[in-house]
Amino acid sequence: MELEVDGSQVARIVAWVRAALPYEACGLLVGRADADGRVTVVRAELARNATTEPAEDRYEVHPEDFLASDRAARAEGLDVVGVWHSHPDSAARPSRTDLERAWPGWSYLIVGRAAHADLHVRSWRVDENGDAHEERLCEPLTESRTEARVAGRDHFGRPSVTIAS
Amino acid sequence: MTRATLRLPTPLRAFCGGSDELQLDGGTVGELLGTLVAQHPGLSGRILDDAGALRRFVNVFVDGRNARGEGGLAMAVPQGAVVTIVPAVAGGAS
Repeated sequence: MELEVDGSQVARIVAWVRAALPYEACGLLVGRADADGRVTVVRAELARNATTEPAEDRYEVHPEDFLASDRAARAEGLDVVGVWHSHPDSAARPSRTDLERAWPGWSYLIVGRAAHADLHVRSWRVDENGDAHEERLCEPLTESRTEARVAGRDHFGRPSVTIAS
Repeated sequence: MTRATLRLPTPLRAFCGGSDELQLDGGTVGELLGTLVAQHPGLSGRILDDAGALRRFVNVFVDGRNARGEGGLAMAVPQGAVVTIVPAVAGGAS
């Protein structure tokens, strides 16, 4: 499993995450899903957080924003292929709530900020049993490298992106 | 009976042969979803609960209007309408 996303799109997400602190930010990933399991993100989009629970640790993409993104994506021959959201005060791994509410088939990109340290970006997919599987982040080969460097490895050797605070 | 276009999000397409949209008959949202799950039973539990009501984590929009505020399953579906199933996209850090 791979999620191909340009660093410029990751940088957009990180900017939205920083602007929303201390609350969670969320949005959608628009692109293409190939039959071989590779997902290509064409663009990241910001959505309103419509949660009625405390927004410090909950998100819900506003359904009207989903509808607008879905409509625009279809008009371009694209799809909503995933979701991004932030964990303002915890790691970039799916929480119990994330797993309970995740839809198999989508990529879930999480920007984590454990112990107020540097931001980390990791991406996951959830299977039909509710188990999370990390997917490799990679950049398009033809695009220039940007500030937010994708396809790095953290000190456990896991795929991740680190953006200095 | 009217005919409408039903648009499906990516996570639900595996339960209806990979189709991203279907042409279905149904004069109301409930009738349309009934036609859908009759043709694709695997979708039933993902859209409707055991009592036949719309699941909490699913919204249905008819020509851009959310059925939840307009009668729910009883909301009328006009001829040629575009009906979109919008899954709740939610989670959180804890």
